[in-house]
Amino acid sequence: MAEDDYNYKKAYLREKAARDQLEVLLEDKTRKLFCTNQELKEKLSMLKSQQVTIMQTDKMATLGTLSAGVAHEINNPLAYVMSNVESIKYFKPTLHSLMQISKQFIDKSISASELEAQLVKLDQETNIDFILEDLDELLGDTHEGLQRIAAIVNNLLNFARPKNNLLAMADITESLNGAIKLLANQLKSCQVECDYEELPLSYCNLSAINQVFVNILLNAKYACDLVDGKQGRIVIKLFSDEKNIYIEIADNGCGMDEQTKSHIFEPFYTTKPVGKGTGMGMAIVYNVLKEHNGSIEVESELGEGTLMRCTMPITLMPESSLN
Amino acid sequence: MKGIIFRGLEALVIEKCGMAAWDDLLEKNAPDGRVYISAQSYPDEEIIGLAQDVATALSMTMPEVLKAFGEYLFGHLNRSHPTVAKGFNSFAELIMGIDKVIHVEVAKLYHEPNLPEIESKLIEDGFILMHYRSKRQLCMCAEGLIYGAASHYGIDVSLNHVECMHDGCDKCVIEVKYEALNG
Repeated sequence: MAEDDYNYKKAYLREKAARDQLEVLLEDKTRKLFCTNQELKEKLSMLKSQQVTIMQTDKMATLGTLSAGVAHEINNPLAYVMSNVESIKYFKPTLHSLMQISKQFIDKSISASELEAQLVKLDQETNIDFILEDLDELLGDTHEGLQRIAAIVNNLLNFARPKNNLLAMADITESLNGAIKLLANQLKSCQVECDYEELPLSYCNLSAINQVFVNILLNAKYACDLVDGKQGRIVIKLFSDEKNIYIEIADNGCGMDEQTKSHIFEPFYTTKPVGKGTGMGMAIVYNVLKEHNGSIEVESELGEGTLMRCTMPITLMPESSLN
Repeated sequence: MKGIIFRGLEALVIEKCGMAAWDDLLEKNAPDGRVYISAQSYPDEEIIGLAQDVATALSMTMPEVLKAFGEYLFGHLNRSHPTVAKGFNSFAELIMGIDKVIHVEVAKLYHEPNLPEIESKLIEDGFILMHYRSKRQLCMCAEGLIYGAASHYGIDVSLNHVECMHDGCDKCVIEVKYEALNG
């Protein structure tokens, strides 16, 4: 069939022109959509970076709150470590003489009888029995004190380090224990009860989870402190089922009214006096849990106390949402 | 394969052989009622089938058809997207910009995960060495597109296909020699 005779040529050309026009329209819209999408991606990346900065700022503000307590926690072991080192320093001349006498005897510059005479003299002057007995205890206590200081500094560093992107298989119990140790001084005014079940490992950002616990515990302690004449009590429960890990932190503090409860996860919302809170604590808790595909529920009654229930899915593989 | 390539073939066949020929090709190689739309993806087998039938009808080899189609396709794409070629001042600039500019623009408009990878290296004025990698192995169509581009800039070009994926190589290596003064 010749082209000129083809009955539908005009119709085809009209349809083709329509297709062309529609495709131009579609391409224009697609190009605009692509550009808008790029802008949104850039803004999202900027927001994420700002979120990291806000989290770090909140951490630093929390560290400010913790510093007095941490200083006190370090001061106790530091005091007896210093005192012990002072005592060991007092024993140093005796130990030095003992080593010198031994060396002289090894080098054969003194005889066995001279050795014995010098040792007897040294014992009479300094009481070697007492040194022997005391040195062990001094060194043991010093070692224990330094370990305590190292643990406090380690907890502090674990909390403060901006390693927000470090994701690993971890036991959340470690994070909670670290938070409780870090807040040891703050929580002294409260009776803290822990009820832990053995938890499975889960893929998470432990540094961010640390911040969740510290923020919730500090709020619980603050709520307890606001109630006069009642012993503050914080009950922490950790348990899991096949799918999730559950963390419950309950306090018998002042509790919250409905209005406060509805705002607590909003950024910059705080009931604390000016200068006492950043208002970011619970917003960060919410975001961290969300990033772990988890959730948080709040039960609170004014004058009775508050229960924060965090649920985190057990994750065995890195997930794209954990970033 | 994106519909825009099918639309190029459709325009070529209708221009050279008429609508009836295109209808026959469609009936044989595509599902009933097929209308190609640029942004839509269609099975690769359809374009291969269409090209093979064109080759048979015109007593040409498949590489010859693909090359001729590539050459025609450049003009077709340039007519539908005139701003792309306008962004390049010369043949050499266009060839060097295929991967970094043209394919980026394509990605904005069409979600095409199987775009060919093209690396071009300017060896000297008048000589570009091009590496072509594609699962579809349509290197002859790429050659045709290069001829089409040269024709658009009004220069002569000669291609030497020194390595080819059809011979088992992991990529095609094409020496592109062109008139440096104009290109």
